[in-house]
Formats: sequence, structure tokens, C-alpha cells
Amino acid sequence: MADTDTIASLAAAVDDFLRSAYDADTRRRVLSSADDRSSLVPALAELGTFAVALEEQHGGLGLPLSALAPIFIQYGRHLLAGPMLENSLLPGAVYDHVSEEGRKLLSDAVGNGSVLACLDPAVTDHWSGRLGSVTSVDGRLHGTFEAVRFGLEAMAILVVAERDGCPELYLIEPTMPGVRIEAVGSADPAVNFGRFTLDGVEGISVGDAATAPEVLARVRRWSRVLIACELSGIATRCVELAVEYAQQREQFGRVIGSFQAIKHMLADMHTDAVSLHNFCEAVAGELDQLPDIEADLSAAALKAHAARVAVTVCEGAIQVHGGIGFTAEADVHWYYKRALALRAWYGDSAELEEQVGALVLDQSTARTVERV
Amino acid sequence: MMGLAVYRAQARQWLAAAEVPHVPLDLDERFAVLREWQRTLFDAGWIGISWSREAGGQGLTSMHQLVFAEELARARAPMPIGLIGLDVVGPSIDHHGQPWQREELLPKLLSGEHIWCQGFSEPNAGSDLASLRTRAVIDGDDFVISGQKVWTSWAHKSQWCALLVRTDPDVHKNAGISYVLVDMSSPGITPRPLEQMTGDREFCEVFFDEVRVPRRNLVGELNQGWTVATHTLGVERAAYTVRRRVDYEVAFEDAVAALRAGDLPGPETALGRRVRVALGRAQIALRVLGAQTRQTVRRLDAGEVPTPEDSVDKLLLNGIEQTVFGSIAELLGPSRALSGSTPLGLEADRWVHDHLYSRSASIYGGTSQVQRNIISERLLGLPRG
Repeated sequence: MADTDTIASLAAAVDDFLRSAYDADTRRRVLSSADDRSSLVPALAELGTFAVALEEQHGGLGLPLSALAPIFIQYGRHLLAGPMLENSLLPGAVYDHVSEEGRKLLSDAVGNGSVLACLDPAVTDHWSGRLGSVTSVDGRLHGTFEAVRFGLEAMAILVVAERDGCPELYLIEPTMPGVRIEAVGSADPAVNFGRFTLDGVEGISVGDAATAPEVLARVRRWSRVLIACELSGIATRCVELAVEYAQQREQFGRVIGSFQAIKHMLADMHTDAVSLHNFCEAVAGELDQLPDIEADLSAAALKAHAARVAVTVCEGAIQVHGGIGFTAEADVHWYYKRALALRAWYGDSAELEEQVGALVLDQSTARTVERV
Repeated sequence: MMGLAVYRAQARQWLAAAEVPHVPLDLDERFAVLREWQRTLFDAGWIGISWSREAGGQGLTSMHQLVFAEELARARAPMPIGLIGLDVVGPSIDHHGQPWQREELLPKLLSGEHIWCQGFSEPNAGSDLASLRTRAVIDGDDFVISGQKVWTSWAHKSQWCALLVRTDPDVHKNAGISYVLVDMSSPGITPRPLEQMTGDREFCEVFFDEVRVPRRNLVGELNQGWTVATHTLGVERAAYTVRRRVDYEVAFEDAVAALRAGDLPGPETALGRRVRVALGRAQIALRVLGAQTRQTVRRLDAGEVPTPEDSVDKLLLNGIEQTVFGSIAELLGPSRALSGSTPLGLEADRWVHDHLYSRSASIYGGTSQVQRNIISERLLGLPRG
């Protein structure tokens, strides 16, 4: 287990950095404009945040992926825009399975903050296929996909392709022959999207038939966990904003936070946010020690809870703010839009409840109650 | 002190060899079996685990107590009958009681020879417990007690009652309350069982008509009963959260096992999908609770209880119990109405009972609304209404 003090101080450093470099005015500007949404990435690279989970021999800090959890909670609290998930997760997950050429791309992302992206059709289950897909034929990639986060800005993209029902992984560059990328409008204030068309692209292969499924499963699991952490930060911050507002705003001659109708909403929001925070810590701390099915189940359960809680809490925060909460004058609408976008990314609660239920039924051995 | 892993292994070994009783549905039979079970556990040293040795306990920690509760659940063995005494009344007597009370009352409380009930709530003092009106007037060496209590579990089966009474009607509500131990065989006490929506008749209303109780039965100082009662209730709440989680997990595992063994519809069917969604929802709720109770256990371990944080636990626990049993009971479909049926392999009677029981979760031990008041005022700093 990595030094918990190191991990806590990393998260605190990110918090400090964002307090100065990403203050309220900057945040509003970035969230309002597609041009600025990856503007802080080089500075975050310099801070070392993308090096967290990369092994030391490859120039990283060599910490477990769980070290990213408190950092992503900070990203959520600050509502940071950018390819944080891709740049933080992919280098460490993929590095050992790719050639020197691919490693260069990853090192550049970690050290200099060049943008990484991920094209994964399994970002949704219920809408599977509706956004497109990529197939691999004789090592060449064909297909289209509608929704690649920061696809236009990316210098390298991890592509999940299908070959005879099995997943294959490739790194591609936007300049490779056969790659076409178009901008797609984004309703997620923290992300830009690109539409990819691949026509016989010869990518850099990642892993082989034996290792690719494992690498991919781990990327998906941790994507769920880190998105949940971000949603946890969003929920916590929205409770704070709503409590602050309820303590100031007066109606009927007293602050609205003294009315039980408001207090009970805030108590529920707080309880939801606390439960999500504790769940994030518990799952992140043990995920890589769990057997595969159990790890999949944990990550899916966490993301399901996060998706429900964050959206519910944001809606509560808007309600507590009253009319101003419906305007662009208050910040809560940014958090809400971000939470709604992240809700469906790697599964909303409807989709994941079904998956968790199926995993529970399929598990060959019953879980134990031993938890203390 | 013995490590938790060793303790767990010992408990598991003992339970594997023990004759774990089957719990009858009939309430009288259930009471008798569980009382006998308490005696068995007591003789083997599994009662009063976290109590001090001086008080007749095992001198271990609440963590050891929780480990044993988990092992009981794993072995599908029931809890002993005298939980109110073991968890709440006993520790109150131990911390605040007089020497004779500790010496004479605690051994029989532990062994199950004496079953204890707790007379707190009244018809007009529910959430607002401090407004209770049962009067105790001092007459010579006795209190003379008159009034009515309600929701008193096992009052009709108990030998003793820990009673909150008003001893000073002229001061602010909770300043005039005392904590008194009452022998239930005293003249003037009439317990009347109330039927719950589950059909069980475990709790009662209890009438006190000029009941004479010796003044030496007072616990703590006169008019200090509120402190005695709330302190112990607060400490118990955190442990209760952790223990209930185990109950829910066991119930969920039983439901999954029954569904696996039954006629499980495939995932492509509408019903199959509903089964998976319901199980998923319940499983997620259980995991949320599991993560939450890690913090609870940490607080228990560090002695950081009671705290207003316990109200977050309780509020979460209430909702989760209802989610878990509500999700499972929903899978009974129309067969819910057919007693003795086993739709999808689930025993309708059991899951109907547990589902109905879950409605009490958000009412007893402080309603969800009371918890929300505590959270908003004491954790979020919002003004009192």
C-alpha cells in the first residue's frame, strides 16, 4: 500500500493549484467556451498528476491507481474541464503492452500534457451500437464512432476494436492515413467531442489476444471508479453551495435554511453525498486486490450509486437555490450538466443495476458477510 | 488482547460444533428457544463480549462483538433474546448504576434468566420523548409510579423494565426525568401486547397504576435519567448499524440462493430483467451500507461515539433496509397475496414478513425525520426552526 500521506498531499497540491489557476471566473470562461476546455492540461502535466499511476521505471510516480481517487474528487469539486480521465488512466494501463512508438505518445501525454482520448463503444451497454463501432480486419481498423471525448485535440487515441467477437486494442494518431475526425457539439461543459471515421487505419497494436481483454477490463473498471469519484466531488460541492445559499437567503423574515422543508432536503443531500464519498474510498482502496468478477461488480455498483446520487443532489441544489438556480447566474447548473453527462458514461444506474444483478446471480460462490 | 482473526476462527469453530436452534414462527415458542440459546451462548462465553470482566463480560472490544455477530449470521444462527438488556440496559447499569445493581442484576441479565424491557416511549411522547408524563412520586423509601408506556418490546415476557419517569414536573422537560429499574412482578403493572402489521405481538403497551418501586432502584442521580438514557442509546446506535448490515446481507444471500435454485427466468425475458434489476438495486444498496459501516467501525474503534454522524448512518440504514426488502418482495409479484406460495423459488411468507417489518426501520430508534433534523442542525449548521 502506497504512502497515504503522499497520496493525500498530491490531492492537496491539485486542490491548491486549482484554487489559484482555476478560480471561479476562469472556470466560467472555460466551461462556456470549447476552445479553452483542455487549456490546463500542460500545467497539470507539469504538476505530475498524469504520472501518478505510471511505473517509476517509465518516468511515473509508481503509485496505485487508487491514488487517483482523491485527485478526481478534487476535479469534481472544482468542476475541472479536460481529458483528466484519459491522460491519468491510459498511460499506466497501456504502457507495458505497447511498442516504443506507442510509449513515446504516452510519455508525451504524461510529461508534456499532450491530450489522450479513448474510443470505446462499450461506454454504454443499453445504447450499444447506436454510437457506432470499430472492427479490425487483418490489423486494419474500419468504422465510425460518434462520441470520442477530446477527439479533436487528441495526439493519441486508444481504440477498442472488435474482431470475431473479441476485443483488440490499438493506439492511433490523428495524422495516420485513413483517420478522419470531425467536431461534434458538446452539451457537457467540461468536454469536447469528436466523431471518428476510420478507413483501413493501421494502428499501433496494444497487447495481444491474451492480454487485451484484461487491459480493457481494467480501463473500464477504473473509468467507472474515477468518474464516480468526480461525481462524488460534484455532489459534495453542490451540498456546500446549497447549504451556503440556504443560510443567506431570507424569505418570510427568516433564512430559508430554518424551514424544515429545506433542512430535510439538505440532510438527504448530505447523507447521499457522504455515502458516495465513503463508497468511492472503499472501492478505490480494494479494487486491484479483488478477483475480476468481484472487481467488475464493485466498480459497476459504485458507478450506479454515483450516477444516481450526483444527479439527485444537483437537482436538490438547484431547487434550494430557487429561481436563481435556474439561471446562469448561479454555478449549480454547470455541476448539473456535468453530472448528467457523466451519468451515462460507462453506465447509468438503470444499466448498471441490471449488470450487477446479473453478476450476483452468475457468481459461482456466494459472497461472505465477513467485512469487519 | 486476542486478535480479531483468531477470535473469528474460534467463534466459527464453536458455532460449527454447536447445535444451532431452528427459530419457530410462533412467538411464545420463539421466545423460549431464543432464551435457551442465550443460556447456551452465555455458558460458552459468547455473551457480554465487549462488557468489562468486572461486570461479568469478556473484557473484549465492540469489534470482537461485531465479529461474533457476523459469525452468528454466517452460521445462520439467531441472536440471543435479551438484546435490549445486553446492548442498552446492561451498559447503562454498568456505567451509571449502583454497586448492588451491578452485582445482583447484571449476572442474570447476561445469562438470560432475566429478560429486560425498556419503558421509554409513551402515547404522547414518541419522537418528543422528553415530554414523557409517567409520574414517579417519592413516598418514604419508594417511588410510586403511574402512567402508560408503549412500544415496549417483550414487556409481557420480561422480568425487569428500565423505565424513564418524570420525577420533577416543574423544570424544563428533560431536566426532570429519572431512570428507574422496575421489577415487572410488582403489583399494578399491566402489559398488553400490540399486534404489529407483521402479525407478531412482540411489543406492548404497559400500564402502571401506583406501582411501588424502592428508591434504591434509581440509576444515576435523581432527575439525571435523560443523560443515562441518551448516552447509552447513542453508543448502541453505531453498533446496531453494523449489526443490521449483517442481517441484510444474510437475507440477500438467502434470496439469491433461492432464486438460483428456483425457476430463474433468462435475462432476455421481461421477468428475468426485473429479477436482475431488483437484485442489482438491493446489492448496490448493501455495498453502500458496507462502505458506510467501515467508517462507523472506525469511529467505534476510536471511541468517537456517540456523534451526530450516527444520524447519517441511521438515515441511510433506514432507506437501505427498505430498498433491500422492497426489491426482493417486489419479485413475489401477484403471488405475494398467496400465503404459502414460492414464486421464483422465494418463500412468500418470509419475504412478506420482512418487507412489512422494514417499514418500521424509518420509525423506531428515532424516525428518519428526527435524524434529518439532527443532521441539518448539528452537522450542516442550519438554524433550529
